[in-house]
Amino acid sequence: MNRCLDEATLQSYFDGELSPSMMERATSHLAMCTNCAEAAREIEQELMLLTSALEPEFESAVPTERLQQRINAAVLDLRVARAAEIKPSTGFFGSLSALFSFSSARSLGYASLVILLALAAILGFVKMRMSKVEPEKLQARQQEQTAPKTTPEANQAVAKDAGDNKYSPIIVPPKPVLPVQGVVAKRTVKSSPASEATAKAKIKLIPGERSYLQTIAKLDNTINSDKNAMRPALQVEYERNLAVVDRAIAATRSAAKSNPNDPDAADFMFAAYQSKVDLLNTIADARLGGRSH
Amino acid sequence: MKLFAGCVVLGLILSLPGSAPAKIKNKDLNVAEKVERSTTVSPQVTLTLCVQSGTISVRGWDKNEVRVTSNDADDIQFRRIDKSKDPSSPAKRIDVMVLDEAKAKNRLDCQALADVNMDVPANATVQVQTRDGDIRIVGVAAAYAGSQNGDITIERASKLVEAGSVGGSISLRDSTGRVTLNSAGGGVAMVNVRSSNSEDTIDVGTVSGDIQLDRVSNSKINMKTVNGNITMTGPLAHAGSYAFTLMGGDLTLKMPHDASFTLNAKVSERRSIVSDFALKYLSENPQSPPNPAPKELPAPKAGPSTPAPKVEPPAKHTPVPKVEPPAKDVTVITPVIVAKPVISSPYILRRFNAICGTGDATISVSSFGGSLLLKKL
Repeated sequence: MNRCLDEATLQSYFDGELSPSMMERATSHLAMCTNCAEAAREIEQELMLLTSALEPEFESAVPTERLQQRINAAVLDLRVARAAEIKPSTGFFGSLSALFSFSSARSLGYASLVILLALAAILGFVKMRMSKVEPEKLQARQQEQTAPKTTPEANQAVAKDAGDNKYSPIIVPPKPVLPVQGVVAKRTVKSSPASEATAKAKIKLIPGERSYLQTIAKLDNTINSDKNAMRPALQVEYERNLAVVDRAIAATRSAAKSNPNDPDAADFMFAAYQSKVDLLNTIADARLGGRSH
Repeated sequence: MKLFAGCVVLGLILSLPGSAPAKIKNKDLNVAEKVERSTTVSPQVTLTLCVQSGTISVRGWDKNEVRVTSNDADDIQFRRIDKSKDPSSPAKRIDVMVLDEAKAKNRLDCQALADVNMDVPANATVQVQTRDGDIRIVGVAAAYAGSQNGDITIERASKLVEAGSVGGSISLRDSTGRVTLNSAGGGVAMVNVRSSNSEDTIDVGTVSGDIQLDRVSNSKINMKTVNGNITMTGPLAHAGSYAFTLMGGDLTLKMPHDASFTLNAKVSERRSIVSDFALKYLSENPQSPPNPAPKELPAPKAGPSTPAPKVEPPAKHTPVPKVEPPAKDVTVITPVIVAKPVISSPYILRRFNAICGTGDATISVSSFGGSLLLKKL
């Protein structure tokens, strides 16, 4: 090669971008041509100066390379996670840690799952409350139909009787259904088995028993309307005989319930009820006193 | 002068305490005075008398006149309540108003605290009521008596007796007619009572008081007690009907040896039936509970190798056990003693039908928890 090398060819020579044959002919020409050698030396010095000035920048990875490294790392993590899902034998704690490693997609899935669970819980709670409140309402309606209205004093007496396991024909008036569902549920849960059994027993009236209970309740209200009208001697006699009659009612009622196919057992119970009605009538008349024509 | 004035003042002061007791004494004397009122009435007059507290005594006499006396009352008045067109005609309905001093101002009825004696025509109807005192009525046609805690005694009533007491006892003797007696805690005793016609019934009821009948010949008697005992002594009326309902007490019937009756008894299996009479066993239909435990049933005579008796299902709705006609080869059991079972079993009602003699009278016994005793006099 006799012709001198131009600047582009020299730059390509130093950049190593020439083909091997051109690289060999350029090298033999620089050895014989002092002008091209001098021009090549200048380009080399400029390159060395530029290299020394940009050395920190050239030592760090170029941005494309760091981005490529992060992408590679992320791809590697995904591969590790898939490998963990495929291999559950990696350990319980590994699974837990994998569950709590939130990616954006997993976070969205978890949020959806939480919302669904919350909706299901709300629906289940409401349904459970409805199923608990309905029997109580039904019981209240039944008691409202069967039981006469009693005074608060009578209610206290009934509650006391229920606790003493002593039979009393007075039926507890139905509890008001509170609008607050939670309160009702709490009462339902806290009711003792004895009180529930007593309430059930009171609901199951023997046929024909209701009319007696209604009559007794009316007379009882009449007598209790003004206790001051009853003198102590009469009060003592009244309570003593009332206890006797109530015991008889309890015994005959128990027999009637245990012998539902025996009409005579029911007749004994009705006779005991009638005795109580007679007693209450006597006391009510005695309270009033006065002249009767 | 000053000395004279001082003596006068001192004398007046000393004289005051002495005057007060004299006034009380006079008042006591006034109260102790007997108040008496009388009026002419119809022989069949109806009289009512009501006091708050005090003993009432009524006696029938042969005069068409009512006389009321009291040592405690401040005043006694007759209030005619019949609506007769002729005011001069004898009264047929009279309210006897007994007023003591405290209540006389307000004229409140039934508030007097006084013992009262009253003479009435023998055919009169009296209706008396007191709260605490006793009542005694003798020799009237019809007597209505009520007392809370006092005792009631009625004798020689000729047509009707109705009496009620809460805590007191009731006694009826030598009377005729329809009788209704009720007492809660007190006992009831009837002696020598008979009926004037076939419609005269006797109804007696108590809660815890005992009932005793002696020589009661009414043909229809109903007695009911919750926890009292019933004892009836004397002959049975021909074709009489006797019904006894007891919850916890015992029934004892003491009858002549020639008593003739049919016995329909419903008694608890746990209680006993004891009879001194020759009873012809008609039927016994114990009704078992729906699901009795076989081992708790009173087992009949069965040897060790005998299989256990099958438990028959309970009969459905047999209101009245049918009394089968007496078989020709019935066994006469004298006495019939059914011992109280020892085992504790559920309530079982036992129906026991038997006849004694020709079965003239009918005795129906419903005893929930008491025993039945038939004894010879």
